[in-house]
Amino acid sequence: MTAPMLEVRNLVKHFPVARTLSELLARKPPKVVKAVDGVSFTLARGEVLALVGESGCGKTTIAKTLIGLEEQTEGDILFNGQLVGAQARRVRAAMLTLETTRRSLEDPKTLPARLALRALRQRAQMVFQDPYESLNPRATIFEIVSEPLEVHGLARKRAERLASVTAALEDAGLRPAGDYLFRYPHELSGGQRQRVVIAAAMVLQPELLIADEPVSMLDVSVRAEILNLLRDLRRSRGVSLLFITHDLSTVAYFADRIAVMYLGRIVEIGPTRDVLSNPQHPYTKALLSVVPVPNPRLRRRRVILQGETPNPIHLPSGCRFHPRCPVAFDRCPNVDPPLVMVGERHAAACLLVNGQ
Amino acid sequence: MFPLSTSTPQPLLRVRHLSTDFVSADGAVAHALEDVSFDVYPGEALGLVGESGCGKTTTMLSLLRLLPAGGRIVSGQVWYDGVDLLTLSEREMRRYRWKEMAMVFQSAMNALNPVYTIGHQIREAILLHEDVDRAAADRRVTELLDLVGIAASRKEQYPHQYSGGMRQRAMIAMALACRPRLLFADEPTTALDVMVQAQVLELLKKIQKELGLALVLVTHDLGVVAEACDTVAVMYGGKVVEYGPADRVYNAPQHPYTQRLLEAFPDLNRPGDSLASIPGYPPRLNALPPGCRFEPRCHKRLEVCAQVAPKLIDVSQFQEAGSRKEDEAISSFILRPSSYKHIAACHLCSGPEAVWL
Repeated sequence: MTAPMLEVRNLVKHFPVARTLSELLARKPPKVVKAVDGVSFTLARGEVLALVGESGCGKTTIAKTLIGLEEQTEGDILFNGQLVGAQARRVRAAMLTLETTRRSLEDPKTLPARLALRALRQRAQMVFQDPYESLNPRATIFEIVSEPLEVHGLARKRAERLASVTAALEDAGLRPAGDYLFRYPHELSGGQRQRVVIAAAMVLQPELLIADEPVSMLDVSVRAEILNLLRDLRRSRGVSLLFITHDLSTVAYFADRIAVMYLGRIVEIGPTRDVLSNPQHPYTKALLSVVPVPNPRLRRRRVILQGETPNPIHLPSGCRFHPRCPVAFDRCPNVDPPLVMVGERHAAACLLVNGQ
Repeated sequence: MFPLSTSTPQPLLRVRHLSTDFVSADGAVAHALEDVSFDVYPGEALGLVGESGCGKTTTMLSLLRLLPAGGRIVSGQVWYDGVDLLTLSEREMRRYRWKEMAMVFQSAMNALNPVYTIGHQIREAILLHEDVDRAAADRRVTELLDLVGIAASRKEQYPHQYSGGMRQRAMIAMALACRPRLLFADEPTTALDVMVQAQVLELLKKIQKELGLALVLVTHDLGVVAEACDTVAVMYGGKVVEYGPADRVYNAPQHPYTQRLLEAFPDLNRPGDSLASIPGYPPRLNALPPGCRFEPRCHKRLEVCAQVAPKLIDVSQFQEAGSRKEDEAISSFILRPSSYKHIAACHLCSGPEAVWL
């Protein structure tokens, strides 16, 4: 078997929290937010993996760490079998030690690492949630979509850039591209803007596209178009997709596998069909039961968890889901369950599965 | 055979032929609402559903007469318990707001005042509208918070100390402060996480049942409407294009827009199905197409659609193929006459013209 395109091993990302003056005086230990706390997964070429969870579960932090916008606290990220996390770290360290960013950019010593990070970014691109905020309002669509080409020095001549941008826009469903090239974002609707964002990500022909809630800001009728577009891109380009969302019904529509996250951990991961039809973790079951079904005849018994996700500074002991778990028992506060296989490629982290 | 009661229930709210315009600073007129009619019965939940810009929020603000500057109601009537709210003076109208009809706003963070405690803000609403002393108002605040599941100990906390879900609960408590009979909720669950969304929706349903409230739920989320509403009004381009009992609208939609919207909504029960999308974009309200407003995007359009605006057709007689729900429909008809009224505005629908009396 060939190596997976992306492999994440035991990824940890902790954010320090500033101490208050009284805490400093009392010499209290510094607090950390454990945003991502030991996450491992792989992504094969052309595969769509959905990271699902509520806000604060760490799914966006994972995305940012993958493309080097955040530096991981621990763990390895391998892209086509190559370690990339360390490179990002070295670049950042070099930048911090020098007086100015400008000087560090000129420093030949950091060059290989910078090039490696840049190469990674060329192969892994991100689509952000809000197309109203992720586009520069003062740049034309051509400038926005061609900027990645300039940054990566790919198309030096304007004619080449024009050709690449035109192709990317048309692939993203903005046809004919000529109608859009020299317009500004405010002239476009939300759905069109999100297509521009996707075109700007795809213009580099990346192998991995990370989409962070790409449709949650859009209306239902437009949402379907964008989802269909992402699905088509995956088919025609073989691009892998890490799809981050809180909406399980969207995921059901096109992910190959689902990873359900809770408080910085993956609690269940497996093929979409298995996770949806045979969920093993009580959190997955609850999440599935509250997904609104667009049919009044199918109103079901819903497992509504009480309270809200705990603060990731003070994680519960044992299984971090136990305070809200409807089926928790005496061992749950004491044992932190690992992910165990519950089927072919299907794993869950709960003491109740597979007689742990 | 039918246990017909002697008095048929009367709608609490009857909206008839409501049209609202917005006039911009340069004098341009946008027809935000045109000929909107619907009923809300006591204890019934109506879902006003549609995409952004379809006029659902304008409908609600028109009913409450809270339109922003530039908005004006051009024609129509809004009967609340036998009184046409549009004929009242501003002073008389104030007696209806909050005491009779209250509202839960979309963004709880912006609707709550950050410099006053939650308890203070709810108390203020009570003292403003009711002739009670502070102690009685305070007792009522505790009751209300208890009703929405907030501990009394958090009464004197500020909005920033509340989580998103709790703020939305506090908003609901505030709306209930003066025991209204009709509650408007504008996208009450939109900015919330799925689980918190479910909690808030469950709370709204519980309160509606316990207090016998009529509820108008304004949302773009078809799933939320399916979970919580008895009746649905689907809006598009400032008009109600389909109106009927939720079961009928979801399982036998008659308007092509409703049909496509339902097909575009991802459903967990049909994973992997390809999603329908609606090409194009909703019409601009200052440049509406002359015929059916959905015509430019419609997959079933006829020649006539571009020229003539469709009438409202009563499609109640339409029988869903193989439907075993007719008995249920009849029983709910006895409870709520409106629940048997199914109307669609499309040239493809056949039936008598619907009449809103």
